[in-house]
Amino acid sequence: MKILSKYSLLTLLIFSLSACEGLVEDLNDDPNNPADAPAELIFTGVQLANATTHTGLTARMAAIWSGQMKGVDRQWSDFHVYNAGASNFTNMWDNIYYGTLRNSRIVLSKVEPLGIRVFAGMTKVTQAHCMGNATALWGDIPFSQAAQIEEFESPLFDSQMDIYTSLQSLLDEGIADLESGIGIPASGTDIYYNGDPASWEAAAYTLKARFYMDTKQYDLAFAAAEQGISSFAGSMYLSHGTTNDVDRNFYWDFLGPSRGGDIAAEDAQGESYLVTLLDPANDNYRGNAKTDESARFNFYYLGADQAINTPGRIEPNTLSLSQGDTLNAMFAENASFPLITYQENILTLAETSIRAGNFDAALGYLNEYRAFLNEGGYIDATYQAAFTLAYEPYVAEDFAPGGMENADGIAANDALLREIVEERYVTFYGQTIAWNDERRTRGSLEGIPISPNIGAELPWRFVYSQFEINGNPNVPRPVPGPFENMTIYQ
Amino acid sequence: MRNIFTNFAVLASRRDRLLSTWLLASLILIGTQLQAQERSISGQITSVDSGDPLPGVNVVVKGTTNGTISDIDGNYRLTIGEDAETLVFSFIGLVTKEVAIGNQSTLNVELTDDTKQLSEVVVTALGFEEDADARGLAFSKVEGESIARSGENTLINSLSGKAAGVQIARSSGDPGAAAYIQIRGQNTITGESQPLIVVDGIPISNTVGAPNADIDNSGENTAGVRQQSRMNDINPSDIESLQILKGASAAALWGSRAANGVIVITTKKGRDAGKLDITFRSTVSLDQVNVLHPLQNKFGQGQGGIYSPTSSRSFGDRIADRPGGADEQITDPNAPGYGGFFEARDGDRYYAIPSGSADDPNGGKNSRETFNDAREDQVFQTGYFVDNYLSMSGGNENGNFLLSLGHMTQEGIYRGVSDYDRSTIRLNANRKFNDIVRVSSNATFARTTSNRIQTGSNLNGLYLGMLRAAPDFNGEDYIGNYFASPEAAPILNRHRSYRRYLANNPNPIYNNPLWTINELQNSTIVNRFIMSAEIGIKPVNWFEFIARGGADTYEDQRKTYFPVHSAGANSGGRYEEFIFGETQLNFDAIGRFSFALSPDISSSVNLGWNINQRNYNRVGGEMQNFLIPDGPLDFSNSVGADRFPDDTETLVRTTRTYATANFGLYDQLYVNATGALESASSFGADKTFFYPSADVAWQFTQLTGSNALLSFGKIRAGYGQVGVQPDPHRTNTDFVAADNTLFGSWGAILSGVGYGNGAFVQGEQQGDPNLRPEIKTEWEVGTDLRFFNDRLRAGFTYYQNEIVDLLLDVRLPSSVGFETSYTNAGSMENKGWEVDLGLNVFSNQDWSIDLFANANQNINEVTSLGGSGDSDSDVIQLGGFSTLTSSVAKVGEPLSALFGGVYLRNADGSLDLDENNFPQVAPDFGVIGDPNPVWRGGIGGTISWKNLSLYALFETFQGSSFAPNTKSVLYNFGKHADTGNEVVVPSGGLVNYNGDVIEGGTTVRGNIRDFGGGPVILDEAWYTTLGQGFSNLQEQFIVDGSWTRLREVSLSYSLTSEKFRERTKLQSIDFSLRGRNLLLWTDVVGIDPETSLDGATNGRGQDYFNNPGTKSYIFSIAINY
Repeated sequence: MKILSKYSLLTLLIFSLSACEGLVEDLNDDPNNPADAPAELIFTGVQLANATTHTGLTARMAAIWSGQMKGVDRQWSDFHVYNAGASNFTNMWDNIYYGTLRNSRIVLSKVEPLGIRVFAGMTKVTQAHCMGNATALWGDIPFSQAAQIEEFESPLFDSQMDIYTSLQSLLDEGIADLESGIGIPASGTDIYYNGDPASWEAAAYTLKARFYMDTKQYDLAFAAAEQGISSFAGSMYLSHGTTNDVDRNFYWDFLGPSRGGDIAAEDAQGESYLVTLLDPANDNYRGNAKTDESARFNFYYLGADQAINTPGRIEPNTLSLSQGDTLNAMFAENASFPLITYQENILTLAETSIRAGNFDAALGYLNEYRAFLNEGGYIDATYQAAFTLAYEPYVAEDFAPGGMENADGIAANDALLREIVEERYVTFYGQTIAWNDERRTRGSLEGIPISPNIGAELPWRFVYSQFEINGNPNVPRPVPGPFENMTIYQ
Repeated sequence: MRNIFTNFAVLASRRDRLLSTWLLASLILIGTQLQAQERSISGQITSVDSGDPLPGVNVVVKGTTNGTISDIDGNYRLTIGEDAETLVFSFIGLVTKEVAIGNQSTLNVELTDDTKQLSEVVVTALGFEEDADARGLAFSKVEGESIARSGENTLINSLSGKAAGVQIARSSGDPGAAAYIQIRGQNTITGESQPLIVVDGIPISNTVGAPNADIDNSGENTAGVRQQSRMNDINPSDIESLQILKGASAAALWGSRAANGVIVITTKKGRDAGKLDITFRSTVSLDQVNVLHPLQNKFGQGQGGIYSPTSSRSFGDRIADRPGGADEQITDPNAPGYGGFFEARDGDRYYAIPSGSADDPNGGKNSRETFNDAREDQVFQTGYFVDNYLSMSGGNENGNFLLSLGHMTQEGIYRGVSDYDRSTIRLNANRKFNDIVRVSSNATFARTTSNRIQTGSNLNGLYLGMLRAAPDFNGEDYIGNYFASPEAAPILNRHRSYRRYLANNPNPIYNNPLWTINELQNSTIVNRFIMSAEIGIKPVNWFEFIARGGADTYEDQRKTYFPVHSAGANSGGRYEEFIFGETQLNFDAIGRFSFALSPDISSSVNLGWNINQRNYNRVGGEMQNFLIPDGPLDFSNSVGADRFPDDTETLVRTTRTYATANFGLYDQLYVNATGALESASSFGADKTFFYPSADVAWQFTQLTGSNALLSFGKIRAGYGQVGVQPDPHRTNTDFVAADNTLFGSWGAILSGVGYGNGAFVQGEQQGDPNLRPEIKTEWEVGTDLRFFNDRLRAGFTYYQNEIVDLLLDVRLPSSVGFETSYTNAGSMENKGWEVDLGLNVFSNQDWSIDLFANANQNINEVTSLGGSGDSDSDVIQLGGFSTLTSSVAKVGEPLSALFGGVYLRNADGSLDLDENNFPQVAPDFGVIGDPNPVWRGGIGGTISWKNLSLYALFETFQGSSFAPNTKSVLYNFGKHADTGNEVVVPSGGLVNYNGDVIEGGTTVRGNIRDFGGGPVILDEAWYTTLGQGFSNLQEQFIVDGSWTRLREVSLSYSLTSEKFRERTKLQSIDFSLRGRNLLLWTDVVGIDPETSLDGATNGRGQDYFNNPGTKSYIFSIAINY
């Protein structure tokens, strides 16, 4: 009897051993984060992610490798001599693919089925802006299969030319959407143009022109630029504020608080090439009887005696009214950063015109741009007031052999082209497109004559993200290093 | 009884089905009692030698299967037939005794030891004591005495070197800093990596920072301060013994919380001594830095051999070549180079010093004084702690109590705001109401307060600003007022650092170390309650019902304050305040059956049900840019845009039903099996998993008989499965605010807070609706042998485990659209052996010499990491810097492998040198070292003479790699001693990294090295580019991280003579003098290699401006009444 009760108790207890799933169900929804978000908020996030890929490490590295700045301390003195490994590019690669491409695809999946076309158009233009920059810096990259993990776990690397072709049609689609005029997102969604279709359309054309420039399809670039951004006010600038970790200018933050002293514009080997062009005291000064670069030089750079972050060395200028300075420089704490601009568009019109052999048209565009500069252009008002500037119109004689801009006596067309290319290089200070131009024109008569920071070679490209190399078998092997040329520049 | 079940019902809540089952069970229990018509016999079984009660003794009516096992208090109760004549009492290690029953109804029995040493009692995962010799597993037990003897004021550190297979690594010498515990290798990659801590049957939190990897700001990363482990809230003096359940089979009952092993702590209880026992112990420790980095003091601040007072580097002029005397200062406001002046608090004024030039390398810097040593003296001191402990206890046969009070106060090794205080109160009470019902309870309150020093990769870290500072910079005056001109109003409380020697800018770039230790505040205040209660009901002799409940709850208030003019983004002031709260509730209902199946087969069965819930909350915020620079630490002192509130919460609930069964056959073969069926809220679609385990032990000497050589022999084997739970709330892919962590580049960030209407995006981590626990399957075999009449004890274990379904934030190629995917992917293996030896070399009345040793080897290999592409090359970063050296998981490599830039090599493996014979860096990274030891061991012993005893413990850690990034980065700054060398270039000349030829016979600052293409000169050109710690070529810096240390040494004396006792009425006074970490042998230069950049995480083997380690001298006195 006793044994019986012993085992019956045991058996009963064993049967009662169920795992009690009911007690633990429905407790795992994240109390901290939502499961979905409206397209409007996602789009703003896409814009922020995309902006970092134009103003972050990519821009600084390009500025150093294109002779506008110099890496002088810590990691940056090593990057300066082109020792930049795959891991250095991971963060930018994340912002491109996860931040921008993935999330912009989500926006499109939410708005396109509902016929919200202007919003879709803005999203497509943003996507193209991001991916065009990426292919210009890395060459062949994933695009057609990218950011669709549900379908492609190892996206293929599309050829650079295919990507440019796809981006042109993506922009065309975006333009068509924008032209429909239907589906303007709520105010506050778009941090650049607040949803204005016309502004976006112009920016899209300027981007088309940029990509045609990259691929040296100058006639198409000209045609696109004709419909591009036609006024400084229509430029796409990323606005910045004065709140740390929220909205400060990336260069300002990097050059000062984050990595003070890592980047200058001068080192033991001398000044950056751009400094030599702009510094009125330099032998290589590009100013002349019609041109005074004092204001722009000071707007860009702080002299060795005033340098804040690299005392004793000329450095990129970070003076800020918001910090109590009396001037507001190119890289002030709250200085807006150029993304797609009037300056770029009109200089594209100028360059493509001269490349098509239209001297007068090219000179006209150049002078239109100089007139803009002569009124102060994009130079901060404090610098216009504190320093002199002059950009009087050039005339054809200035480019004739022996002319003001042709001391070495080359063909007039070449001299004008050289001046336009140099003006682009000077104007695109701190932007990746300056390096695009340098690489595009490298070795030609009009090219920017920079010399390597070490050794005998100039780099052509950035290295793929380390995690892409690790995780995607489609990465080209051997992994191309910085000195390997890419399709569009061959 | 009804009350008990009612209470249980409340606790169990909502499960009517379960409740009804238990109610039914209770009815049967009562029924069983009513049916028992025979007479009963009961009594207590005690040890002849110690008088202590003996649990687990087999009691059988001779010639029948009727029997029982004594309970934890040595009591037994058995219903016997009228005809029963003799009871047989048996227990392994004790002489079996047969006693005639006669007419007695109470039969108390004393048993004597079978051999000289009582076999070891071990505590199982459920908190029950068992005979170690009857288990098929390796156990590691650390007695409370040994914990106290270590002289450590934190529990975890006191375990170092004491058990085979257990690695304890402290993250820094900061007071109260967390330490990393690793049992039998790494058992998870990104999951909870620390063992489960169970105190008196109740699991408690051992959280460092936040409990889940997905919560930001957990406190353990490359910067910030080193946080505490919550395990350190336990006063080591309260511990009776600590059992480390290493293997899966020992821990399987804890299911998905046990993969990292379980540490079962038994706290002290009162005893039946017929009097009040009082113990008072006081300990004083003096702590010092144990290793410092060697620095150069031959060359001044500057670059290219030219002095510059604002340069980040110390590649300036040769200090010995300076004229000496006072520096030239530009005091005339009209003179060129005038920079205003800085007025220190003591009135000292500093003006601009003219920089040098090629013709005049020292410029205005005339003084030959250097300040490296002064800086060390200004920062470090002899720290100390005072630990007082008072306990009172007593009891009788029906109950006992113990009350303890502890207070420890510690001052760190920094002459600044660095301290750690812990106060604990604990009450333990046990009461037996009758033969059926007993209750016990524990209540502990702990309060710890602490202030820490910023460390690591951190512009505000102590070492970063201290070690980089130029040797010729006197940083003594670190705070004062700056005047831009003689007429200008002062800017108050400016921060003077070596790169801002006039403090003419709000941002000092790097903190002056004196600012770091004196002006910053990093406080934490923790209030913690741990309560538990247990009730045991034993209605019949073969069954006991135990209900056990507990709560562990704490609140950790952390404040971090960077005053205005701190370095970097904090120059406008930054303040953070967070309250971390964690509550763990736990309840077990256990039925214990014990009976003999036949005279030769004893058995016991436990069945139980557990529910556990863990809530975590973090609420707080940050503000920056103070409106009033020295205003109160309150969020009102900033504008709205500069305030960042933050809150996070998580919840995990787990239920388990479990069973254990133990069978003993012929007192020599023991079979134990357990199973746990577990459900947890954090699991995905499948909610329930089963964890089996079994072990078997055969005492073959029972069969063969023991002899003079071999007195005891056992072979054993075990098998089991345990797991690791997924982080909670990870089954979905979330959308997240695009706020201040998401989109940035090297410090700067764009946040939706400042743009448009705000921004939300899909999270960078992909969720997984099918999350499962990681499953570790382990088997082990081993033997326990005792020789020479038990004077030599040896244990040997070999184990092998495989962990599958590892929970990983799989790093995706971001082209797929996510950065990571949190999923079950990949697998890992560990195999290893452990050996424990104990030898009583000699003992007589006065003398005894005991030696012990333990050693183990663990070989870990990551066998798969899932991943979407070429999984062989997947890498998951665990710590360090993705752009420099990181500690990673990589397929085919041991976990935590060091990963970084490697040399560009030729096909034959030789270095592919550049045209100047310098190495080059390969475009992608590779594995550059393994921070795991090939083996580790501890050896020590005690020599006693009468009441005097000397104890020593050496520990060794062999065959590991170490990434000395403080050293390599100091190359960049020209500050490390290696960069202060001068060499004469041999005839023929040499080239430097720039390709410049340096002619023979010249003395240059640098070193000569041959990378394989002939000697080259390593000078500033090399040390500021590829040859420095920020470069991609990290392989060049990796060193052997092996060490051996004298972990503990102690000399103690106990005053216990009769005369003394009579005169003082005291039992004893114990004195001891101890040392911790006094000797260290290692090839690592500049820092104790037992350090961790990433705190208590799986990121191992890296130094990056980590705060230093310590050594201690300790004195203690204990008075026992």
